[in-house]
Amino acid sequence: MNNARLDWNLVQILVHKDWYFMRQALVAYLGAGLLGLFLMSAGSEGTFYAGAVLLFTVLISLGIHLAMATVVQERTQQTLAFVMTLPISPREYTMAKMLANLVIFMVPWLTTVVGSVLVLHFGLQSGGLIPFALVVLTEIFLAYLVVLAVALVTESEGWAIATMVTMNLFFQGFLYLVSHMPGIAETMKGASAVWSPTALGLLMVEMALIAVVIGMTFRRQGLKNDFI
Amino acid sequence: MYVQIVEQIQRLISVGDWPRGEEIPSIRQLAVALSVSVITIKRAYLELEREGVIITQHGKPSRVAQEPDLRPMDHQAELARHLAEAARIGELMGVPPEELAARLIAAVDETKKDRT
Amino acid sequence: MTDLAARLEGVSKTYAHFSLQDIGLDLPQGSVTGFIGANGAGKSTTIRILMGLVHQDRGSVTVMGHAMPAAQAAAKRDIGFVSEDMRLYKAATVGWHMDFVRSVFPGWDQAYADQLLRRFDLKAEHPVKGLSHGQRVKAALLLALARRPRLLVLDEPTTGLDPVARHEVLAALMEALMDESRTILFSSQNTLDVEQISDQICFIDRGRIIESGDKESFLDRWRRVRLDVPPDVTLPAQMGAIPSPVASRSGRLTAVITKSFDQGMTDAYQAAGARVLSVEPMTLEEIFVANVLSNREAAHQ
Repeated sequence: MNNARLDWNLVQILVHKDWYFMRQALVAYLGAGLLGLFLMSAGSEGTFYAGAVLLFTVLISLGIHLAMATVVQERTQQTLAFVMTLPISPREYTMAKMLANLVIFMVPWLTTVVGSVLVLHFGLQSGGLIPFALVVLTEIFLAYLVVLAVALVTESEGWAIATMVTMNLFFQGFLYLVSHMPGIAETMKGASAVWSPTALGLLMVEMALIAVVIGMTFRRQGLKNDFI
Repeated sequence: MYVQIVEQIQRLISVGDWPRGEEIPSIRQLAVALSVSVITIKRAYLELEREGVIITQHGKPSRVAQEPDLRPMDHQAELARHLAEAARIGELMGVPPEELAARLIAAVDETKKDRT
Repeated sequence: MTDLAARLEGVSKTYAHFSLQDIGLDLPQGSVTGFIGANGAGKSTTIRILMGLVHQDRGSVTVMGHAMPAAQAAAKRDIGFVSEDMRLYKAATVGWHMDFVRSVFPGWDQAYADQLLRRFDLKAEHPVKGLSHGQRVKAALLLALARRPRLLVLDEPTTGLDPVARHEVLAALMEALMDESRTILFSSQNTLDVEQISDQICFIDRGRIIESGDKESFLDRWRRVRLDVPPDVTLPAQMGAIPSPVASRSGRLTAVITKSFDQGMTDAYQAAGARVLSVEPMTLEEIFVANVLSNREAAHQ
């Protein structure tokens, strides 16, 4: 049949549905994120760390919540059959899920990125932390996409949770590694951002991986034979 | 199952709820009204037409015949079956034929009494 | 020449512990097909293949002119599907689901939907979380019926419903058929419901279709013949008669079940010296069980 065209109207309706069910949680996450930004700029080193940890936690939790609520739960709560009786193809379902997830996640994520840059540069005169912050925040986005990909492709609660745990462990190690990496470690203290090749390289790799994960998700979903 | 429908319709006609010569519901309409499959109603109508109780015309709604014959052959078979069954049970129980016949007549009287 | 709403031909699907083999099914437009099978016989899998939700390993599936699963999006515009294991969103109300389905399907009939709400004893404000099993099934059916789809595919629509709900559901299903272009396929454990509203029947067991045909001829052809067989008499084998152990013997009395009864049978038995006690019609349930048992017996040998 016509493989090229997707029913964007239907995709939009599905994205709106997922957003509708997440809307209250989303407000809570945004609130917590803003609180984190506020704490970061409060003044003392303690509140700065508390704020940063809160921000990371909010984003990671949102990612997990989104993957579970929009993908895994359709299967565990058996609403997948209801969705699949709508006039959609598996491709449109995948597109709707990806879009819903990306859009809903990126609102708090972008807010955090922009907010932290502003706080770091203007509020705290610690622009040196900006490259580090962006690398870490992008990693959180990438980790979330990996969890989402596994959830979509395997439709398995077990695999999704295993991936979440793995990515979380990786994150802890990543934080340590990057903050001690030559090319980043020494530039963190300054008042303005220093974009070393290491920092730029890391960002490039992360963005490339993001594109790869998204592409592979679509490909694997397209090959699936059984939807239920 | 279609036998029940046939009987139901015969009763409707005999008491006049479905008047002679008048139009009757289409097969589909009756199927929906009774929550019974179309194929069963179709069969019932075929049977009724065969017996001359209703008339179907292609392209036009079916109607009750002017002079419907309400004693169809099927009841004969049913009667024969029941009589055979009574005979068999009577034999099993050791009831003599004369007593069996007497009990049948008594049963007919009972039915007449219930009607009045 | 009747149009077919759907056709499955030579459909096979293999799973680790189960396989569908060579499934063939025709759904004539305007008809009701009842699909009877034990648990695990393959009803749900067949239905999912029909809906394009599962891709068959072999065979062709055509639904209203669309090849499945390739054209499933287009086909599903005109198909209403309700399955027993389907759930609605707990965080929303019945009314939300009605609005949702209405936004997707232009054929939504709001007046009819409101009427069904009353008949099914449901309220739009009712949150899905608090619905009982029966209410949930009725809500899902309402969502499918109010779209007035050309094909209704229902997996166990009356299972677990109280008698009043069943009556309402069957009435609503039959009502959908007022439009001659609508077709219904429903699978059920409840042979009474199938017997009541189906035009054609299909039996499935262990992944194979073991019988299919129009309901009235089924009920016509199958008979249980009760015989009194004196000890020195052997019953002649008859075409279509199902051999023991379904032909049960207890002393002189025996019963033979046959799938193609005619007068010649009783004549042959009587000629052999047996006495025909009665020739009884069978309910669809009895026919189904006899069919399945004899099939499994034959498969064993």
